[in-house]
Amino acid sequence: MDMQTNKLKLLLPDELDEFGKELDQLRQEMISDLGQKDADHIRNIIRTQKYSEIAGRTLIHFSLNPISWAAGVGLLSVAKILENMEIGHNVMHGQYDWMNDPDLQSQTYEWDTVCDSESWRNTHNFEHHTYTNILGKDRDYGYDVLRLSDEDPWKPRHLFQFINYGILSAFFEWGVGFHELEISRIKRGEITFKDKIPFIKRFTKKASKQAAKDYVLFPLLAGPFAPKVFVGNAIANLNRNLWTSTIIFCGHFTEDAQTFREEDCENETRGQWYYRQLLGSSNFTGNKWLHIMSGHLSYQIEHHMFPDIPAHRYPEMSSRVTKICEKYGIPYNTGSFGSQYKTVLERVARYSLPPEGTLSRVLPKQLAKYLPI
Amino acid sequence: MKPSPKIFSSQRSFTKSINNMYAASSAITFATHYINALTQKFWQQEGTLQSYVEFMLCEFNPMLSRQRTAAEVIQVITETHQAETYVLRPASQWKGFQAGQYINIEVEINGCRYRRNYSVSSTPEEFEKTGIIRITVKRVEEGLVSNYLRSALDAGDIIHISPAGGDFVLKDTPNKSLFLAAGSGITPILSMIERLALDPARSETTLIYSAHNPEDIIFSERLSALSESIPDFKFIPHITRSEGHLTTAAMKAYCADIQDRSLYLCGPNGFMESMNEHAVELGVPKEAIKQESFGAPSTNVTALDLDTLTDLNSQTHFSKSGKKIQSDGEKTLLELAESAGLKPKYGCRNGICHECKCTKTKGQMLNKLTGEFISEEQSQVQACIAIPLGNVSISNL
Ligand code: FES
Repeated sequence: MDMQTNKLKLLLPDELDEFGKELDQLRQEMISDLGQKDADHIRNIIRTQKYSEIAGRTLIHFSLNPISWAAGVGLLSVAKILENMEIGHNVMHGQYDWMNDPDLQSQTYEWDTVCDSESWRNTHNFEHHTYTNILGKDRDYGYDVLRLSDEDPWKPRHLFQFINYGILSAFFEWGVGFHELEISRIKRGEITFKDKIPFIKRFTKKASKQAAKDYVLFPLLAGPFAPKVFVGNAIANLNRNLWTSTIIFCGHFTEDAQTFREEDCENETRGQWYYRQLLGSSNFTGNKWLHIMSGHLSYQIEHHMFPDIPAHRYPEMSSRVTKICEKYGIPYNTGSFGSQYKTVLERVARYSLPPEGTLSRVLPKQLAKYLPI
Repeated sequence: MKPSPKIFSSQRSFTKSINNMYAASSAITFATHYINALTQKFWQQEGTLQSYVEFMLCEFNPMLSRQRTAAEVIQVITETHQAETYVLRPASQWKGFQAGQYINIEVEINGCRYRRNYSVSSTPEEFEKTGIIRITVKRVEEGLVSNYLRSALDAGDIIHISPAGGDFVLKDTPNKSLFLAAGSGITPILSMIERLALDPARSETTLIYSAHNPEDIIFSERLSALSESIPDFKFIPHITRSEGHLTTAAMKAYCADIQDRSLYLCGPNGFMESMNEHAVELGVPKEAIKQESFGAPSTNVTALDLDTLTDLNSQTHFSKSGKKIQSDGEKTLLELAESAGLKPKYGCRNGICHECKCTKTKGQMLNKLTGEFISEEQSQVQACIAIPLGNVSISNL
């Protein structure tokens, strides 16, 4: 099976079946072990998040000096990150549906970002998790903004993609929120703007509600101190955006994370699907709170193999997955947070240039399009 | 005689102050009404603000919850070798009940919430006076919730309850009545009989209570005491182990004028069916019968039963659209819904994204991806990988 676009050890169909079965078994074991421990975990996180949001907003409102204000902004950032990552993202994957708690149901949960939950469930849970790293199908690969592999033809604008990357990170929630718009498909004429009107309506409703809360309601409540609340909330949102985008980039765009071609993934078996999820994802190591703050997306491999198992179980599953990978001689992509992020930046940098040695050939041709020579 | 001006004026000032007081109190009533209406409106909405207020209230005291109704366990009373009464004090927003109605109680067992209906066995009068209600639970073998209640609940614990529901209540017109109960079917009936005992306008009342053994009779002392103190109440325990099942003849013998009475039936399905038949045979008009069925206790099926469940005549019922379709034990719920002409939401069709989640209200299924069994209890199912086994009802399609 030659499915990844970069070369790597190949497994025989039989091996893949076995590999899939072992992972299915691990999954089954975890599911039958779900219980109080998992319920307590998510409720504790929710308590922490609620208390830090209340404390954060109170401090921002009533701070007497820049230090207490900054502490408030910090707490609010933490609350937003916890809500988006360990709570919202994971709840919407259906990780806690089994609890029968109406507040933790995947299909009705609404999270604290401008991105409408329904839209997220469609673009992330379905598209990204089903077509992970399949070029052209997984639109999360580069978000239509960045060039991250050779399959994507180089254009002069990619020279400046570091700037785009910075902007995308700073406004990550907006990028994620607009993702369903599929601008590039509209540009290519595959769909029309009209097809997207229902989405735009939903998005506008959610985004205006969010903006009203952080930029109108809370500042107004502070009366004459409105500006410091406005700025505090904006910084908290910015912190959250930068953090989440960094975590997510470390999940799929590190040096060794593989990409795949659509034709190769047709009629995938369960084993092949697991294998693709493994090759397309990368983990990073760290302490308990780094994992919690990243919604356990630091265990991106386990998350992609078992998206609906409570994420705080990934650490224990990871040691089993590593062993299974060793057995089949498959690489398990992990490293420290810093080293993984470094390879992400290197990837963004590398693909801002055309394939090696072709710059002198490609650049004049590309430029010719723009210049009336 | 004319009242002296002085007296007159003091009287006038008295009326005036009364008027003032009246105006003030009506202003206060108006204000409380207005505030109540506003709070009610606030809690009818679901939003971030509500969730934070709710969170803080519950952190302070779980009884203050506004989005759910909490109830404190005051006492646990052993009734028989297999039944206990839980004395509960519902939170202040709970609206009360009519004799014979049930409440839905919610408990969390190993991280998962379960809900069950139990009839209230005490009277509305007791609730008005003391603010407490009682539910009596007969433990079912293997029954998850009933056994949990017994092993885990103690005075001081908190559970959650729903508003009272059900139309198994006393008729307005006072008429001679006959109550027929079996097993835990006595619980709503005790409430009704106690309620009647307080009513001077009641007429003759008879209770036939069918139980397997004498020691299975719940409330036996209370019922005997009632029949001694109230001359027009007759309590007839019927023990099936020694006397056999209740027959038409036995019923006629217990209650000669059965055809002139209002009947109230409550018990397990089989009991209800035969009682209905007997009553009709004895000339009781259908309109005179009120009933509440407790259904069969739901038990979990083992792999051995799977074959019997994949019977070709199984139906999947979509209650929102009213559509029905035959299931064959192979097609997934998503495929069935589509062939029934419905347009269910889906994404990956492969068990990954959970976009196809459906709410199952009845029946068991099989997860085709993992071979895992989806029990009666589990209400959220992934339609694209769930295959109905036997009859299934889906509420959201
Ligand atoms: S459609 Fe994706 S889980 Fe069913």
